[in-house]
Amino acid sequence: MAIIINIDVMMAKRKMSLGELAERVEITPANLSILKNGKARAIRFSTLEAVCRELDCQPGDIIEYRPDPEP
Amino acid sequence: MQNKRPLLQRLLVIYVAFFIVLAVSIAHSLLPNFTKGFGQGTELGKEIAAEWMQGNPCAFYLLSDVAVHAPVPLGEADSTATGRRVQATAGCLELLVVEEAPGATPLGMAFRSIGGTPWLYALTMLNALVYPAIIVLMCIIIRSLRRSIRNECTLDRRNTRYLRAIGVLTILSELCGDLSAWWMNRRAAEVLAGTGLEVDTGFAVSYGTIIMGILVLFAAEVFAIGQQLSEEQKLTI
Repeated sequence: MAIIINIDVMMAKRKMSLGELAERVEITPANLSILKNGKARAIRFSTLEAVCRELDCQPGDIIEYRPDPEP
Repeated sequence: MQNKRPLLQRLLVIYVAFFIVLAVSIAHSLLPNFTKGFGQGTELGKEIAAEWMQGNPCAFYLLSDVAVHAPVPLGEADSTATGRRVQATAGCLELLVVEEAPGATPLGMAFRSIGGTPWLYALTMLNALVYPAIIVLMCIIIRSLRRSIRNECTLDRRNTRYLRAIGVLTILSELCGDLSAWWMNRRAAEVLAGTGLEVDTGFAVSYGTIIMGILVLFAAEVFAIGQQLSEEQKLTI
């Protein structure tokens, strides 16, 4: 998929663990892991808002559009 | 899932109704037909054996449900009880064809006992196998639905697969039945050539069953879409 999730980069920058962020955002670590690994199909605005708030960043810092290479 | 009980109860009603219909159809239609067919087959077997013993091998084969263009008059009857006169005609014939088969093996003759060709025999057997397959799949899907409701995962991939299989088998069974009827009518037309009886050799399709099969396939696709939506919902964080 052309949408890349850079949540792990921001977590590393903020020195925050997956469990801690999950607790702060109030979602399960399993769901946050799905999001982090790029397995999620969609993200709710409320989740995005909570993640941006806790990581003190903009949506563009954690979501990136990278076009797939031409076949 | 908050309230599973009504769903499970409804499925139980469908399950029980399905088994009642199955049991009644077996007792009322399948069993008598099978017994009648078995009796006819045994008689036919005895005749074939008698001819065989006499050194005159004959092939016997059945042509059933042969549709004729003009109904064959069977005669008139006066009902003494009601004082009514009844004229009887037959629009559908059951034919037993006997033809000499020098050099034929018993097994070869057995495989030609329906319609006089092994292909028609195979088609009839295939059709006979499709119905039990549909019944088994229906049992499986009802059980699977009950289990998936208990596990709170109704939109299961397996259920979609079973539904698709039922739809395809329903259409296949109808087409097999129609093809074998058409083939039998064509054979009957050859056999009855010159007798004055005209056989309807058109390809007749029971559209009701085909539509039912398509509806089952449609339901399977609705199920598949529901399952896809549920998966997407699960992966929405």
